[in-house]
Amino acid sequence: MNNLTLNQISHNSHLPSQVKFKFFTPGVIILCLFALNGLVFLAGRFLFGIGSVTNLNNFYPWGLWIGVDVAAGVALAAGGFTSAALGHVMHKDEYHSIVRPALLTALLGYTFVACGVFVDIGRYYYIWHPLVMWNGNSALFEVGICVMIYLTVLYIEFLPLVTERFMGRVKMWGFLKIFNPILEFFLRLTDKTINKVMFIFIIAGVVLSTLHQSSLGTLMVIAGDKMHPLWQTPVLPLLFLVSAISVGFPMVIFESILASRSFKLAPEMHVLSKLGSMVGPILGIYLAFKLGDMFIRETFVYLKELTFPAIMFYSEMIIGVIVPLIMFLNKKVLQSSKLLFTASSLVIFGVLLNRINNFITAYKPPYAKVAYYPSIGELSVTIGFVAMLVLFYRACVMIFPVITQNHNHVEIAKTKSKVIL
Amino acid sequence: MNPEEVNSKSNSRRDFLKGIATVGAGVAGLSYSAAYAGAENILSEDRFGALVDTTLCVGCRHCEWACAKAHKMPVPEIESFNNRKVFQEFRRPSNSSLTVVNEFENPKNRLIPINVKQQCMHCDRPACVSACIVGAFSKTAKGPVVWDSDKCIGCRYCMVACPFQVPTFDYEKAIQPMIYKCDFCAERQKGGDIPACVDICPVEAITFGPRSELIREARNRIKRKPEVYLDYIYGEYEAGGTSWLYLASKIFTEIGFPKLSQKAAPGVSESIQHGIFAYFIPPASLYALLGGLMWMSKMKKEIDTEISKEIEEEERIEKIHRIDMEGKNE
Amino acid sequence: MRKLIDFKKVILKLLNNHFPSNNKNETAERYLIHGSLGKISLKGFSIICLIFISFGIFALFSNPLLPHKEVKKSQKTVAQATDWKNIHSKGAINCKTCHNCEYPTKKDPCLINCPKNEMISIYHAPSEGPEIVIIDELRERYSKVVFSHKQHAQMSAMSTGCGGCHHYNTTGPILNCKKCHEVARKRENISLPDLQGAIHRQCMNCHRQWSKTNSCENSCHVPIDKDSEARTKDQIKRLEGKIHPEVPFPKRMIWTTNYEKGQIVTFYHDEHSGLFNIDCKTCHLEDNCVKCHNKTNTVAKFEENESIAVKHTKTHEDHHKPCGNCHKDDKCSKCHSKVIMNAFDHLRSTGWALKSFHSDLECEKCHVNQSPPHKIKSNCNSCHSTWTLGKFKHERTGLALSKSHIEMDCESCHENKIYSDKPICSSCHDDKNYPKHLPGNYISRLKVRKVIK
Repeated sequence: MNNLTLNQISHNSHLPSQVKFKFFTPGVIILCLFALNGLVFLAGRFLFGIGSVTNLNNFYPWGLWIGVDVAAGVALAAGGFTSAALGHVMHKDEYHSIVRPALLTALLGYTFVACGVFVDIGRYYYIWHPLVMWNGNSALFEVGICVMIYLTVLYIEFLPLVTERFMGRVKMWGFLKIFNPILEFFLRLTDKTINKVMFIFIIAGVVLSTLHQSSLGTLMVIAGDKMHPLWQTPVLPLLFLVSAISVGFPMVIFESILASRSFKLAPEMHVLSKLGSMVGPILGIYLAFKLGDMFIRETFVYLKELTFPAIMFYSEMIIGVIVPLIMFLNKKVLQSSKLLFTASSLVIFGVLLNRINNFITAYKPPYAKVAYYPSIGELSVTIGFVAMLVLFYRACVMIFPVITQNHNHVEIAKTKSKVIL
Repeated sequence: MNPEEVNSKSNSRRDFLKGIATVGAGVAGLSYSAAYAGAENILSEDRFGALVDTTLCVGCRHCEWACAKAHKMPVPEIESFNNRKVFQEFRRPSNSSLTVVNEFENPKNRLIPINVKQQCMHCDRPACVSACIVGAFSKTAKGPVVWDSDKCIGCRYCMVACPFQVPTFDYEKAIQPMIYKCDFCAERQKGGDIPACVDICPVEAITFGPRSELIREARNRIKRKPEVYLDYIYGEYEAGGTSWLYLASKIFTEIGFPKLSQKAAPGVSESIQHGIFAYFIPPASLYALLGGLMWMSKMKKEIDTEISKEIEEEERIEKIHRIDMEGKNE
Repeated sequence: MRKLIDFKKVILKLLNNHFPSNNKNETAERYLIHGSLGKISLKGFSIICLIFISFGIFALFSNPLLPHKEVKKSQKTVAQATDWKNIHSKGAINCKTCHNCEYPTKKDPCLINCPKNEMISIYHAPSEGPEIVIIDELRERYSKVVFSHKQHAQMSAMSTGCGGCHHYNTTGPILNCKKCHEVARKRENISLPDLQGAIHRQCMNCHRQWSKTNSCENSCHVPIDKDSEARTKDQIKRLEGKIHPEVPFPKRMIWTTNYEKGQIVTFYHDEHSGLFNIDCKTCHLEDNCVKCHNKTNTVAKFEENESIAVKHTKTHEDHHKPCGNCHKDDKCSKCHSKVIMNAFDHLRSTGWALKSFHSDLECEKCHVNQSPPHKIKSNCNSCHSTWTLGKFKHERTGLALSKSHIEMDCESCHENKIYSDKPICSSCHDDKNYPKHLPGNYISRLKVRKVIK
C-alpha cells in the first residue's frame, strides 16, 4: 500500500499529495499575530464573561460571533457538500481534484463554527446538552444537532486521507513507541472498512448540510417583527439553502486559486472554469427567489429611501449577487483566473454580507436605546479565528495529501523537502 | 480512483441497501420525540393569569421589592423604593429586577402619571419555549413559563425569539451565567400562594385569577368606565394570547408595549420545522434520492470503465501481437 | 402519533354524523326509551299523561318563581312587615338593582356586587358625616389611623361628592367596606378588589406624593410603640373642629384655543360660582385633589387674568364637557371670541338693564327654577302685583313723584298697566314727553333703600 501511494504520487499527477513548502512566510507570521490577538481576547471572555469582550446586551443577545463566525462560517463551508455531491454522488471524476480541498475547508470551517458556538454560548461546558436534551420545535436545536453530526461525518470523510498518509509510517518517539503497532492496526482496520461504508457518510453529509443550511435561515424567522421586513420572510430557509449552494463553488474556486498562488502552483483552470460555469445558474435561481419574495411581500417600499438597511440590502444584492452573476455568465471571466477569483470573492462577500444583514442589520429589537456594533474584542476574536483557520489549512495541506499538484512541481517539492529533511 | 472502491464493487449494492435501511430505522426512532416534542397543547382551561390595571397602579414599586425578595435576590430596604427619581429613565426587566415599574405622562391629568408594571407576559404559545435549543423553557399547564437552569447552555436564542424582549442574561459572569425572567412565582403557586407582586400590591392593581375570568372582569371594567379605559385588553390576543393582561387609559404603544400581531410568535418557524421534518420523510427521501443517484452514476461509470478496459485490453493484446509479429519478423 | 389522533378524530366525526349525539351511551339510552314507550299500552299511556298534567297544574300554582303578580304581592308583605317601604320606595329603586335573590331577608340580604356607576349614592352635606373616623383594622401591627373625615367630605363636596369614596351608599347607615370587600387577596370572586386594595385605592388616588420621609410607615401605618396612644390622642386633638379652608378660585380665566374663528375663551369663574350659583360638582365632578393640591402639597394659587394654553391632549368632548352642562345649545361664538370678553351684563345679553335695585336681587328671584337662567315671560306685575294705588311708593323706582302726580291713577301714565313701556304724558299734557320732562325728581339709591325699609 505504502509503495503504491508513493508510486502514485511520483507517477500519477492526477492524485493529490501533501504540499512540500516552508510553513513560515511573512504573511503567515502576520496571521499568527492576528490569531494570538484573538486568543488574548478569548482568554478575557473565558475569565471575565462575555460582557467583558463584547458589545452584546439584553437587547442584542447575538452579534458578530453568531452572525459571522457561525452563520457565515457555515455558509462559506458549503463548498464541502456541494463538491461532495458533484464529485462523489454524481461521480464526476474530473472534479475529484477539488473534492479534497473542499472537504478540508468544510472540515476546518465547521470546526471553527463549533469553536465560535463554544465561545459564544454562556455555558460552554454544557455544549453537549443538545445531544441529550431535545427540543424538536427549535430551529437552533436542529442546526446544532445537524452541525454536530455533520462535523463527525466530515471527520470520517477525512479518515482516508489519514490512512493514506500514515499507514505503515507510524513512527512515534520515546515511550509512545509502544502504541505504534496498535495505531498501525487501527489505521489498517479503518482503511479496510471505511471505503465500504463511506457512501453512507457522503450522502448523509449532503443531506445534513441541506437540512442545517436551511434551518439556519429558520433561526431568525421566530424573531418575527423584530427583524426588518426586507429580510424577514417565511422563505428564509430556502433563501439560505440556495445562497449556501451558490457560494459553495465560488468558495472552492477562491480557496483553490489562493492556495495555488500561495504555494506557487499553477491554478487548475480546466476544473475551476467548469465549476464557475455552474455558479451562474444557481446565482440566477437565488436572485429569482430573492426578488420574487420581495415582490410578493411588497417589501420594495423600504428601498425607496436610502436608509441604512436599504443601503445594506442594495450592496448585498448588487455587489454580492447581480455583479458576480453577470461575471459568471461571461466566458472570458471563466477563462481568466484573476477575473474568476474576483467574481468568486464577490459572491463570498455577498453571502457574508447577507448573513451579517440577517443576523445583525435586520435585527431591530424593541426598547434598544443604542444600535449594536461589534466591539474590538469581538472583531479580534473573529479575525483571530479566520487567521487560525488559514493557518490550520496551510498546515493540513502540508501534512495530508489534499491538493492535486502538477508533476513538475512535485519534483521540485521533493528535492526541496530532501534538503530540509 | 481508489483501488479499494473497485474491489468492493460486488458488495456495493448490498451495503447500500443495508446502509439505507439502518438510517431509515434510526430516523423512524427519532421522528416521534424530535419532530413533535412539545407541539401538543398542554394549557389547562382554568390556567392562571394576572390582570394589571394601569389606571390603578400608583407606582410605589413595592412589587419590585417583593419580587426580589421572593426570588432571594439582593435587594435594598423597601423604603428606598419610595424614591420616584428612578422614573426619569425608562427601565426594562433586568438581572437585578425581574419586574419594573415605569412612569408615563397622563394626558388626561398631568399630575397623576400613568405607572406601568412590566415583566414576562407568560405567553400561551411562548417563543422562548419553542426556540430553546435544549428545552430549558417550558410552559406549565397552569400558566407560568419557567426556565430550568440545569438545562440552559446560555445560547440566548430565547432573547432573540421573545417578542416582548423579556429574558435577560448575565453578561458579566464567566461561569454559570443565568437567564433572568419573571417566573410568575411558579414555586409559590405550587404551594398554593399567589405571586409575590400580586400579594404586596397595596391597591391590588394586579388581579390574580383564572385567565378566562380575568378577561371577563376586564371587559366589565371597560364597560363600567368607558371614559377611563381604552376598549382593549392587551395580552388577550397579542402573540397568540398571554397570561398577563393589561388595561390602560393610554394607547399601549405609548406606555411601553410593542405592537404585535395576533399570531403566536413561534407559529411560522414551527410550521417550517415540522414541514422539513414531517416524520423525517423529506430528509429520508432526499437521502434515498441521493443514494439512488450515486448508485446509478456509479453503475454508469463502472460500465464505462469496463468498456474502456476491454478496449485497452484488446489494444494491449493487439500490441503484444504486433510486437510478437515484429519480433518474429526480425 | 399525531396521525393516529387525527384518524381517531375522523372516525369520531363520522360517528357523530351518523348518530347526532356525541355520546354513544346517550344514543343507546334514547333507543331504549323509544323501545319502552312502544311496549306501553294506550291505557297506561293515558294514566301517565294524567299524572303529568296534574303535576303540571300543581307546579303552575305552587312555583313561586314564575308568576310575576304573586312575587309582587309577597314582596309588599315583606316590605310592610319590616317597615322598609319608605326607604326603598324613594328614588324608585328596582329590587333587582341591589338584590340578586327573590326574598332578601335581614339575615341574608343577598346584595349584588354593584358596579360603581350603577350604584346608588345618596348625597349628604359634609356636616352630616362624622368629623373624625378612626381606622383600626390592623391594630396588631399599626397604631390607629386618624382620618379627618370632615375635611375630606368638604373637599369631596367640591368634586366627586360622597360617592367618590362611598361608591355604594344607599339610604340608611353607611356600609362598612368589609361588607363587600373580602379580606383575603387570594379569593374566588375577583370582580371586587380585596379590602386592602379597596381602601388603598381610596387613599392613594390622591395621596401619591410619597418620598422617603413621607412613606407608608410615617403617614398611615405607624408601627405600634409606647407612644401610639398619645400620638393618636394628639392627632385627634389637632383635627377636631378643623375645616377645609375656603378654596380660592380665579376671578376669570382666559384660554387660547385652536378654534380659528375665535381663539380666545374668557371664563368668569366668579360669575359662574357666585352670580349663577353653580355647584362646584357640576364642573369639577371628575377632578382629582391634585387639581388644587399640587405636588408640594400647597394649594395652587390663582392669579387674576391667568392665561392658560389649552392642553392638546384632551379631546374635543373632554374640553367642552363641563360647559356643556348649561351651554349645550349655545353657538360656539357664545364663548369663543377674537378678543377677551367682558363680564356678564344683563343689558347686553338680554336687552334689559338691571337698573336700580334689580341688580341686587338674586337671579333666582326672577328666574324661578331656571338653570341656566333664560328669558322670563313675566313683567313687573308678576312680581309687583301687590302694588295698588296709595300703597305703592313711587320712590322705589328711583323717581319721586311730584305732589300733583302722586294723586293720579297709575293708568294715567302707564297705559294698560304695562309698566315696562314708556309712560305717556299725553293724557294730560300736550307738549310734554318722558323722559325729557319728568313727573318728579330722581333720587339717590340710598334714599330708595330707606324708602323700602
